[in-house]
Amino acid sequence: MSNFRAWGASLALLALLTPPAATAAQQSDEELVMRIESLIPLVEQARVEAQAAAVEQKERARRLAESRGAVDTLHIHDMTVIATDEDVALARELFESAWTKRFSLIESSTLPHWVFTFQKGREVREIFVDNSADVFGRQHIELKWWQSREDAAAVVTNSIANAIARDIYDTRVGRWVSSAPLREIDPGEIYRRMAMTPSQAVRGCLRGETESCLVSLGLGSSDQSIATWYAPEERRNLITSGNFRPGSQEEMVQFLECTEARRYEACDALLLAERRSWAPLPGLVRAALLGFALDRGGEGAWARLVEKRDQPVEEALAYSAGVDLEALVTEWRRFLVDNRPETYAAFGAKSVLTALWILFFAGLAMRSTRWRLG
Amino acid sequence: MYKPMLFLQWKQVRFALVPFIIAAFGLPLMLIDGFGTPAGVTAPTLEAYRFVNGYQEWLALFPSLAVAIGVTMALSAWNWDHQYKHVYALSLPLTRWEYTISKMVAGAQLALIPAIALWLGAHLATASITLPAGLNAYPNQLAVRFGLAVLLSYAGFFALASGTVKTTIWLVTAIVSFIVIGNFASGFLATYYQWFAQTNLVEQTFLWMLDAPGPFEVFSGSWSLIDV
Repeated sequence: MSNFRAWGASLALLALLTPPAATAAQQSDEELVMRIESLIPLVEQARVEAQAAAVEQKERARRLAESRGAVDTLHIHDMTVIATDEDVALARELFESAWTKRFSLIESSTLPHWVFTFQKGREVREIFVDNSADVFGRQHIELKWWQSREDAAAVVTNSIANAIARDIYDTRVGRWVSSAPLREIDPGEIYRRMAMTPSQAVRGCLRGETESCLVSLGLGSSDQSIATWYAPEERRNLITSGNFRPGSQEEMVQFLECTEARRYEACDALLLAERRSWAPLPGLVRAALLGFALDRGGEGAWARLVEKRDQPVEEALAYSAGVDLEALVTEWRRFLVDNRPETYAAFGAKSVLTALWILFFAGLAMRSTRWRLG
Repeated sequence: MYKPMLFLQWKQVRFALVPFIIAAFGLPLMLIDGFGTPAGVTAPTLEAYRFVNGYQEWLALFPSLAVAIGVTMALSAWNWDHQYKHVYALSLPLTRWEYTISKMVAGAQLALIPAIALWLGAHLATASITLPAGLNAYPNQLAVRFGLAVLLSYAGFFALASGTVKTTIWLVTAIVSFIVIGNFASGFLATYYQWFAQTNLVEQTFLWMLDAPGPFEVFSGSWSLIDV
C-alpha cells in the first residue's frame, strides 16, 4: 500500500510537471512552484513509510527463521501447537490428554484456526507465530520449569477451553454465560456458592423448585427482577453489605430510609439506580450449567449449541442437551446436591487418628527421662 | 489412688478453668449476629448467611482456645511436682507409669469440661437462628473436634512438662534449627534440583503435620459450626 502511495505521488508530480500544451502557457510560474512544493512532503512521507515497511518485513522474516530453528509445530487433532524442541514430548502428552479427557466430542470452528505456543523452562523464549489470514488467535502457554505436571495439565485444559469459547463470543449465549463453559469446574464449589448466596430464588432452587432455579440463572419466561430474586430484607442487605456510598442528597435520604427505617421501596430505588445486574448467581454457575448441558448432550452438543447461539438461551441449552430445559435444570440441581462438599469429611477416621496421637504423647510422658534413674 | 489425684488436679486448676468455660460457652454465641430476627423482617435466614460469610475472621479462635486450655491444664498438672522436686511422686507406692497415667487421665477429665460448655453453647447458637436451604449446623462435630484438640494439646504439653528442662531445650533447639537450616538448604538446592524448586522441605513437613495422618490435623481441619 505504501509503495502504491509512493508511485501515485510520483506520477502526480510528473503529471503536474508536464502540463498539456493547450494550458501550460496559461499557468503562472508561481502556481506551478506552489503545487510542486505541496507534493514534496507527500512523497517524502511515502518514502519513509515504504522504508519502515521493508524493515518490518525483514524483522518478521528474521524472527520467523529464528523461531523455526528452535521449535516444532504439532498438529494434535484440531489443534496447532508450536512448542520448543525440548518441550515437544510434554506438549504432545498434555494436549493429547486434555483432548481425550474433555474435548474429544467438541467440534469447534475456532479451534483449527487457533495457535497454541507451549514452553516450559528456566527462560521464556519468544515463539513467533506468523500472522496468516488463517490464524484467528493465539494462546501462549509459558510454564515455569518447576511447575508440576498437574498444574501444566490444568493450564492446558483451560487454554483450550478459552479458545473454544470464542465460538460463542459476543452471542446471546456467550453474553449470558460470560465465562468459558468448558473449563474444569468443581461442582462442590458451585454448590457452596449457591448455598452461601442470600437470595430467595437460589434457596428455592436448592429446595428443589425448578422455576426458582430458572429465575436465579436468568432463564425462563418469569419476571427477572430484583423483586423475584431477593426478598425485601435481602434487598436491604445488598445495600447494607455492598459498600454502598450515596452520591447525592437524595440518595443519602433514600439510604437512610432503607437502612434505618427499613423502607424497602427506598432500597429498590437505590439498587435500580446502580445500573448493574443484581442477578444472584455469577457467570461461573451459569458456565457450570452449560458444561453440564454439554456433557448431557454428548456428541454434537457443542455444534448444536453454536447453531443456536443467537437464539434465546433457553432454546439453545435445551437443543444442545437434547432434553427440555426444566428436566435439564432438575438433573443439574440433583447433580450438585449429590456432589455437595462434605464439611466434616472422614471425620470418624480422623478422630480415631487424633486419639492415637494422644495415646502416643501419653506414652512419651511415661518414658520421660526424669523417671529413668540410674 | 485416682480419686485423690483428681481432687488434687481440681484444686490446682478450678479457678483457671472458669474463664475457659465461659469463653468456650460464649464463643459460638458471639459468632451469631444477634438472637433471632427483628420483628416484621421476612428473611430470618440472613443471620446464617452473615455467619458463614463473616466466620472466617473468627476461625482461629476455636483452635487457639483449645490450645490455651490444653497448655494450662498440662502445666498445672505438673506444677506442684516441679515446685517440690517430685518428692511426693517418688514417695507414693506407685510405679512411674501408674502415677503418670492417673495424673494424665485426671487432667484430661477436667479438660473436657470446657468442651462440654462449647457443645452447649453451639447448640444454643444454632437453635437461635433459622438455617436456609443448603446450610447445615454441625454443633456436635465442632464440639468433638474441640474436645480432641484440647486433649491433644494437653497430651503434648503434658509429655513436655513431664520431662526435664534439658529435654525441653533440646527439643526446641531441634525444631528451630530444622526451620532455619532447612529453609537455607532448600533455597540453595532449589537452584540445582527441580524437586527442591517445587518443594520446600520445611513447608512440606509442616503441611504433613497439619494434614492427616499428621498429629495436628485436628487443628487445621474444618471448624465450621454452620456450613453446606
